[in-house]
Amino acid sequence: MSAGRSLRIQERKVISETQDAHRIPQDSAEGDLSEYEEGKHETKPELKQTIRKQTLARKRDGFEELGLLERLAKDMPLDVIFEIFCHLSPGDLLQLARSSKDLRGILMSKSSEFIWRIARENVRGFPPRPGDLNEPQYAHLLYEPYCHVCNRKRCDDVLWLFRMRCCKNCISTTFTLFNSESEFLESQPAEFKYHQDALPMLYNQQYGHIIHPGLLAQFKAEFKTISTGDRSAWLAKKRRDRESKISHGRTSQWWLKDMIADRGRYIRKQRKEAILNRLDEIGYREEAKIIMSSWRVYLAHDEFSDHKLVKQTKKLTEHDWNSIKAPLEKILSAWQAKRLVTKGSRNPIIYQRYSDLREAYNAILSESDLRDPFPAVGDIISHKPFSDLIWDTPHDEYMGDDFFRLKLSEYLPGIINEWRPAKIQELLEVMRQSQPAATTESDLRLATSIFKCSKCWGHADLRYPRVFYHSCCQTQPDGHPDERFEPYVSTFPYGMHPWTSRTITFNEIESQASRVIIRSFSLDPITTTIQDMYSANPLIECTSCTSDQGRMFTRWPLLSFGHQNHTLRINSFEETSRILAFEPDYTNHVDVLCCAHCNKSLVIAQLFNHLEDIHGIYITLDKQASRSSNIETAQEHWYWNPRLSLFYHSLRNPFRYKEVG
Amino acid sequence: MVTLVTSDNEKFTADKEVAERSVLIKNMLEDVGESDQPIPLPNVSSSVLKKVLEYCEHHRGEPLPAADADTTQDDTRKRTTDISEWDQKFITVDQEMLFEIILAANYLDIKSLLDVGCKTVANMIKGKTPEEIRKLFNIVNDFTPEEEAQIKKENEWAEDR
Repeated sequence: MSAGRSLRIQERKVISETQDAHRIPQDSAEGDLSEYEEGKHETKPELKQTIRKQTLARKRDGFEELGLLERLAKDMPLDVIFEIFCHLSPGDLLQLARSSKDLRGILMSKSSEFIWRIARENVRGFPPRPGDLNEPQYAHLLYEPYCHVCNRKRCDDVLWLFRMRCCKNCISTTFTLFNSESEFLESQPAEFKYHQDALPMLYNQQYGHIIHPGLLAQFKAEFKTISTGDRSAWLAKKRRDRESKISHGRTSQWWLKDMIADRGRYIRKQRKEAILNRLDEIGYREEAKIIMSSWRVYLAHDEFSDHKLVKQTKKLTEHDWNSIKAPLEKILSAWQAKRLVTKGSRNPIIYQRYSDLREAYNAILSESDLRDPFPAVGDIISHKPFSDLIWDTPHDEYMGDDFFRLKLSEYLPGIINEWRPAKIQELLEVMRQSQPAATTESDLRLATSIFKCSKCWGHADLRYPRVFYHSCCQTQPDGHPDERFEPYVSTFPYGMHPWTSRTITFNEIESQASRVIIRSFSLDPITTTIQDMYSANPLIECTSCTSDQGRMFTRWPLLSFGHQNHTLRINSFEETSRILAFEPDYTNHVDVLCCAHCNKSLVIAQLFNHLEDIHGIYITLDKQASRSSNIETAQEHWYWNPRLSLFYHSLRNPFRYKEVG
Repeated sequence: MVTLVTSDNEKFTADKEVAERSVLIKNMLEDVGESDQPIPLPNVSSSVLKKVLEYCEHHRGEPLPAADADTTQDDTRKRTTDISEWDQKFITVDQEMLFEIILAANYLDIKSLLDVGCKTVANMIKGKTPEEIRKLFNIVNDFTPEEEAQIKKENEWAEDR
C-alpha cells in the first residue's frame, strides 16, 4: 500500500492484505499475528503458541479499558506498529520490550530484527553493532545504565571486552582482580605467559587488571582441545577478537559519553519545564522567568536554572515536587521582594517595556551572525527611537516583545551601520596606544591583537570580536548615559549599558608571546590572522611539559593556557600518525560552534543532528574517522562561537603520548 | 465534489482534490468513474472523518507520495520524529481520537497522516521507562517481580532462548 514503507514492512502488508483488505477485524488480529510468526518460524511452533496465548490472555479482571498502545497492538496491522517502532531508538525499544509480555513477544522475536536495525540507523553516529552481540544485547549494553550484575547501582562505564557494566560493589564478586599483569600471569599455566594479549583480561585505571573467571575457564577449556600445531592460529584469532572488542569499545565510549550528556541535558530541560508549570499553579512562574532572562543568559546561566533544586538530572515526580515546593516558594518570594524593593516606585509599564525590548533583542541576538561586532542591548535602549517608543507611547497601549522584535528588525540595520564603525574605531584607538600602526578593522583580526580587561580577573585573552561581548564592557558603575533609564538600571542586574572600551587595554605581553608562537609556525606575525591560525592548526608538542606519563601535545588555541614561555615543537614528528591516533576529541559540552546557516550556537555533539533536522543537510559521516575529523570535513556548515574564549575553539583536547615498548 | 458516508451514516461532501488525498478513495473514484454515488466508509465514524478531512484540506495541493516510491531506499533513510507546527496542533487530541485517526489513516491509505500519527505515538514513548510507558498507555504490568528482574538480563532473541 503506502509508499515510503520498508520492503520488509511491505512484505508483511502483503501477508495481511491477503487476509483482509485494510482493517483486520478484532477477533482475527491474533490469528494474523500468529500466521505471520508461523510463516517465519515454521520450526518453532511453540513460539507461535506462546504469542497466541499471550495475546489471547489479555482479558483482565476489572481492566477493560485498553490503553492506546495496546489497542494499536491489538487492532492494527503489524506494519503500523512497526512503523511506530521504527521512529524510536534502540534504547526506547528495549524499554518497550520490558513493559508488557505482548510487546516483548513482538520485539524480542528475530523477525523484528529489522526494527532494531532501523532504530540504530535513526541515531546519529551510533557505533556499528559488533558481530558477537544481537540487536537487543547491543541495545542493553549501550542503553541500560545500571550495573548488569546487581541492577541497582548506576554505572556509565562499560567493560567492553566483557560486554557488560559492573558497579564498584559487584566488581570484586564478579571478577578476579590483580594489581599487575605479572601477578596474574604467575598464577597461570606457563604456556599462557606470552599470550596475555589473547586472554580475557582487561586493564582498568580504577580496578587494575580484571579477569573474567568464566571466560578464562572457557578459554582454558578450548585451549586444551586445540592440537599443539593449531594453537598459534587459534591464539592469533583470540588476539584479533580481543583487540577488535577493545578498539570498538574505545570509539563507542565517546559516543556513549555524548549520549549520556545529551540525555542529561534533555532531562534537566524537561525538569525545569515541569517545575515552571508547577510554579504557574502557585503564582511564581513569572518571577522565575524574570530571573531566567537576566544578563547571565549570555553565559547560558541564570540563578533559577542553576539552582540546586532545579538543576538536577532527574525527572520531576509528584513526591519530588512536594519536597521542593516550599523551599522554592521561599526562595522565589525572597527574590521577588528584593526585586520589588529595588524597583521602588518605578512605573511597572515602563519596566515591562524595557524587559520586553530586552527579550526581543536576546531573540534576535541568538539568530545573528556575531563574527562582526553586534551592538549591546544597552546601545539599543539608549537609541532615541526606542527610548521614545518606550516613554512616549500611551500607557494603555500594549507593546510586548513581538512588537519590539518587529521594531528591531526595522531599526537594527541602521543602528549597526552607525554603531559598528564608531566602536571599531574606539577599539583601534585603544590598540594604537601600543601599536601605532593599527588603522583598520583587519588589524584587529590579527592573531597578535589581544586585549585585556582591567576590571575583571582572568580576562587577559580577549580577541576580536569577542571583546565586544565581554560583560564588563556592558556594565559600568557610574550612571547610565540614558537618564530616563537610570532609575531602572538596578532592576536589570547587569549588562544594560552601551558598549564601551573604558576597561580595555592592549595586552602587550600576550601579543609578544603570540608573535613567538606564530613565528615558530613559520608564519609572519605582521599578517597572520586568527583565521590563518585556525586553518594551520598544527600539532604542537610542549617539550617543557614532558613527564613520566609521556610527551604533551596540544593545538594552537589551547597554547595560551599553561604553556607560556615553554619550548614548543611543531608538526615535525616522525611518528605523527601514531601520535595522532591518541589525540582525543574535545569533551566539553559548551555551545562552541555556530551553525553557518542560522547562527544558532550548538554543542559539538549537536551539529550533525541540527543540520539534518533543521536544514535538511545530511552529512555522510566517515565511521572510521574521529568525530573531530568529521566536523572538520563539514567546515562550511559551522564557525566558532565568537562569544566564547579561544580556549574553547578546539575540536581536540591536549593529550599525552607515550611510546610503548 | 465527492460525498462520503460514515459508519454512523453521516454524509460529508468534500472537494475531489481533498478527498483524493486518500489513496483508497482515489482508487474507488477511478474504479466507479464519473458518478454522484456517495462513497461508504464503514470503518470511519463522523467525528474522525471530520478530523481527517480537516487534515486533507490543510494539505490540499501538496505532492502525494508516488505509489511505489522510496521502497528501495526506505530502509536506509534516517527517520526523524519532527512534526510540523500545524500537524502537531492538529494531532493534539486524546488517545482515543489519536488511535481512531491512525486507524482511519491506515484504512483510507493517507500516508502522511499515518506518519504524523505514528510519529506522535513514538514521541510519547521516547525516553520513558517501562513503568512510565505502562502508566501513559494504560498497560497492565503482566510481569511478576521475578520475571521483571529476569527480563532485564535476558536479551537473547526468543528463538535462541
